[in-house]
Amino acid sequence: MKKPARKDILFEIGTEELPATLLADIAENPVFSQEANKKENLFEAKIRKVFQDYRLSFKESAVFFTPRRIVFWLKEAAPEQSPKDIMIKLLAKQEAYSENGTPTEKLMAILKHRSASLNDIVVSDLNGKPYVFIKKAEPIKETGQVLPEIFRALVKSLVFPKVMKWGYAWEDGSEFYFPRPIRSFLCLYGGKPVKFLIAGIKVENRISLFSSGGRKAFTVKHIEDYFKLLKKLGVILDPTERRKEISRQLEKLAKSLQGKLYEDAFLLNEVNFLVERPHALAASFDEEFLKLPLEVLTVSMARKQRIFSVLGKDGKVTPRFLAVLDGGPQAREKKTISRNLENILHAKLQDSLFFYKEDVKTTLEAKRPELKELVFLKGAGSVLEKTERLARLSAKLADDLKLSGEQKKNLKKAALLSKADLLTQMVGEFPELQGVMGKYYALESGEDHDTASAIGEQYLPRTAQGKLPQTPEGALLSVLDKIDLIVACFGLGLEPTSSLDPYGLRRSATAVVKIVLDKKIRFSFGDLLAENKRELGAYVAKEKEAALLKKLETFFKDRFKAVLADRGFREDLVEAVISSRFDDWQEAALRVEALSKIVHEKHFMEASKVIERTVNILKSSKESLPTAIEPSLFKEEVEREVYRHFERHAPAIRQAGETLNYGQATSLYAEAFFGILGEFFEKVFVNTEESEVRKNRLLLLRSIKDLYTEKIADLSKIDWNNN
Amino acid sequence: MVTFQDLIAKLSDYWAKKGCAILQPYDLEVGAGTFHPATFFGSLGKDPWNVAYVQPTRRPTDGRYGENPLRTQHYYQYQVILKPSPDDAQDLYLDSLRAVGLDLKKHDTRFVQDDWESPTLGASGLGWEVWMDSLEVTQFTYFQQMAGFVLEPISCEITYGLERIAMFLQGKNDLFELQWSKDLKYGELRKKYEVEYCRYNFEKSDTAMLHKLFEIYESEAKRLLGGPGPDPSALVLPAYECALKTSHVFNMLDARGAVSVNERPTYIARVRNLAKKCAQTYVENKLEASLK
Repeated sequence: MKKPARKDILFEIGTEELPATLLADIAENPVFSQEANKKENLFEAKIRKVFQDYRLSFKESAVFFTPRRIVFWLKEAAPEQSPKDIMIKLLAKQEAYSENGTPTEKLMAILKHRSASLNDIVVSDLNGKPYVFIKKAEPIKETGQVLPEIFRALVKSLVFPKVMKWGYAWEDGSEFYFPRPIRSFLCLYGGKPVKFLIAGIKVENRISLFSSGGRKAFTVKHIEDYFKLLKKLGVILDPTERRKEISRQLEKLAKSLQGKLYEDAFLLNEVNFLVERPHALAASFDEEFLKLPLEVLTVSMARKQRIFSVLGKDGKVTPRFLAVLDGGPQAREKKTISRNLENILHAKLQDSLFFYKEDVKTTLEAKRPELKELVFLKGAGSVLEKTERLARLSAKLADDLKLSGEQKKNLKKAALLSKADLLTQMVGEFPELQGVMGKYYALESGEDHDTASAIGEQYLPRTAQGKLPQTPEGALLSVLDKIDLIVACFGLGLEPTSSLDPYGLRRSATAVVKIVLDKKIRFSFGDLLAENKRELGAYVAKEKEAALLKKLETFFKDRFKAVLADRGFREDLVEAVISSRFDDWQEAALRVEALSKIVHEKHFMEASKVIERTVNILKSSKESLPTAIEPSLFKEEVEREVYRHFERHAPAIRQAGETLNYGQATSLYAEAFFGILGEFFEKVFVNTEESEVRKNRLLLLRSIKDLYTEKIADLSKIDWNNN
Repeated sequence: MVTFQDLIAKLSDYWAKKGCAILQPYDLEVGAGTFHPATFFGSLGKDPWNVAYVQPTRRPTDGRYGENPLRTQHYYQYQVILKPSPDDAQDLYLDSLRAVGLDLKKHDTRFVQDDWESPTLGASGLGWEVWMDSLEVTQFTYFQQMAGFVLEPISCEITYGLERIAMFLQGKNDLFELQWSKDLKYGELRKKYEVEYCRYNFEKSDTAMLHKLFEIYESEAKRLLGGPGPDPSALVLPAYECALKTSHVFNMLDARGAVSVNERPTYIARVRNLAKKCAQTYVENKLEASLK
């Protein structure tokens, strides 16, 4: 008999408009799946899982989605379910059979009860003991039969962060939720529609299209027709393709205006899920609004109307914008629409101008006292106190970093005024402009340019890969602001858990590490954290200082490791470096860099060997050692020789370390100790019975180890399988 | 030319034909048509409920002294409640736009996600801002909760911004330029109010008095509700009016900047607690049956 052919399956969930940011999130956050051996988004993962559960194989799958439809396409699906045996455990073998091998009455009774015979059973081991099982093949259903179950299960399995109900509760009594109402289902299997019900809604072969402000229904017979029809109607199903097309249209229009598109990835992602038939058009606005800062213009356009700004060749905003419509209107209608868009933008920008004018009526300095009404963190005082704390910490930091008097003054002023823009109408309207408005309003208030820039840079980087602060004052303010948040949260017991980080502390700490490394800021973080904790005073009094600092160190070490791993450094090497010293992060990074360069060199391996051997022998001893080496206790010539090496080479090694010549320090170290220690371990039995002699030898070895591990890196952490 | 008054008449005609009872505005200051008892209480309970009405709406902080073409501290909403939400709710809405004379082929109509919430009413729902050429002309919401009650069945609330729809109908860029009737402009009727009220709301209102009024209305609402639990002898409807008064007084204080950031949530919670208790008592005392 000819085997039935594999055929495609298509399933569409037709909805009222799904939230664009929800869909963008799903599209933009695919997760790697071991089983699929590729990155897949939520929808792709669900369809694979459900088909697996129902033992239906397919060759390839594709998931498309637009604001109004989620489409699952399974290519070359099997004509029926794959076979599967089920095993039902009955009895231990010894209960099932008597000693002479005949089935017991108990077994026969159970078989009768289950309407099975001796032919259906097998003996198999379970946890090392033999048991009797019924072995039964699962019934195999044809694909067309099993699709209703599959898609019912699929729709139920799609979970979203925010869902709703609509109309009456479902007639079948099942609780059923979705992000927006589902209005149609379509299921095609090969050339045939499959008809059934999901949660009281008919699954049939109809789709609807939103066109010219209304919905039209279309009947589709074949999968090919489905794709042809949507294409003919201008719908781009694939979000990746759709975004490309939107970008292409926008860039083309921007070019025709002698400008370039203002890049806004978030907006583009959102717009991609606000339309299924993208059609871009260009329009303009009044030049009077160019008085508003670039950020206000772009944010207002993006947030209020989801339209794109166009920059001129000079990088400044031009009085033009681009909009993406759903569906391509006629030329005459396009004119009306773009005029309407212009008028609406005009009104919105007028409002922004109103806010700006209102906001600059008083200076930031005058607004600042009201910050006492604003809670920084529950239990950690007001934002006003925070700014005062930042100002004091900035003064200390400025001294440590030997900033000029001018810089110190600007930084302190920036700290004091940093949060005053939270009280402005513009930031109330566009919270993402905090800091940015602070900068403009500082300038309007007559503050120094550097003070204003620092205020503007305090929230940088705004995204994981975002731009870092560029000015020294901005970098320091950003660091202080974030560290204060982290110390306060840890002090209040609000540290992140493995899955939850509501205050974004990991992101903040990562940003701090990046800024410190990129701006080459060198100072003691231990001191800063301790000072910050003291500044927070009673608010964080519950935590003991030492315990808190320990927790913070571990937390920052993890971020430091992650940042350096991200920059291509070996994790074991970073671990070795920060196990040694982790106070001046910039310097720690220099050590990592220097050692990375020599990690395959002979000297590095020799130095590692010295450390590994000394560490091992010291590990086995728990006794407390004297404070100074006593040369008169040495018995063997070779240990005297080791000591002489130590005395002779230690100063140069130390000095190389202190002058940041870590490569040199390492080769000096290897040259000084590798050879002689080899001989030492061959000839000297360290753990002798004589306690004084033993302790003196251990102390000598520890001194040699510490010479390197306390200053440069604990090379016993190096993973040689990795080298 | 579809005048402003024609628009109201056409919407009422349309929704009456679809089976809605056409109600009248509530005669108190409210921030949205949702505060009208026909929506607040109407969305509670199991029985079908289909109504439509105009609701004059006050939002003191939105005032712009009549200088913004789109924002005012007083405007008119047209509110429709359909319980349970019909399967063709969106189509009914789009038809209503055609019925008032809009040619949807000439506009870019979009349903843009909006997770609607009213912290003062303890209400929330999911739906959209309906955009016409990027201007929000309607709020379209499937209520999920009202006064903290999880709703079943679900009501669909359609709130038209009448001025904005009229602007599209009449091709005007400024709401004050709208023709209210053939001979009367919206601005002629409303501009003076707008300017006077902005001055009052932003500059002249007596904050000490408003603070006192808040307390007075709050305690009156509490007194009428009795309790502590739902009280069979409570006067729910007058109590709800007092709650609405506190809400408006709070908005007036807000416009004067007389509510500190810290106090805000407390004020909102106080209004919400009143609204919640009104709803609880309404449900507990089975007022749904006796109100119709």
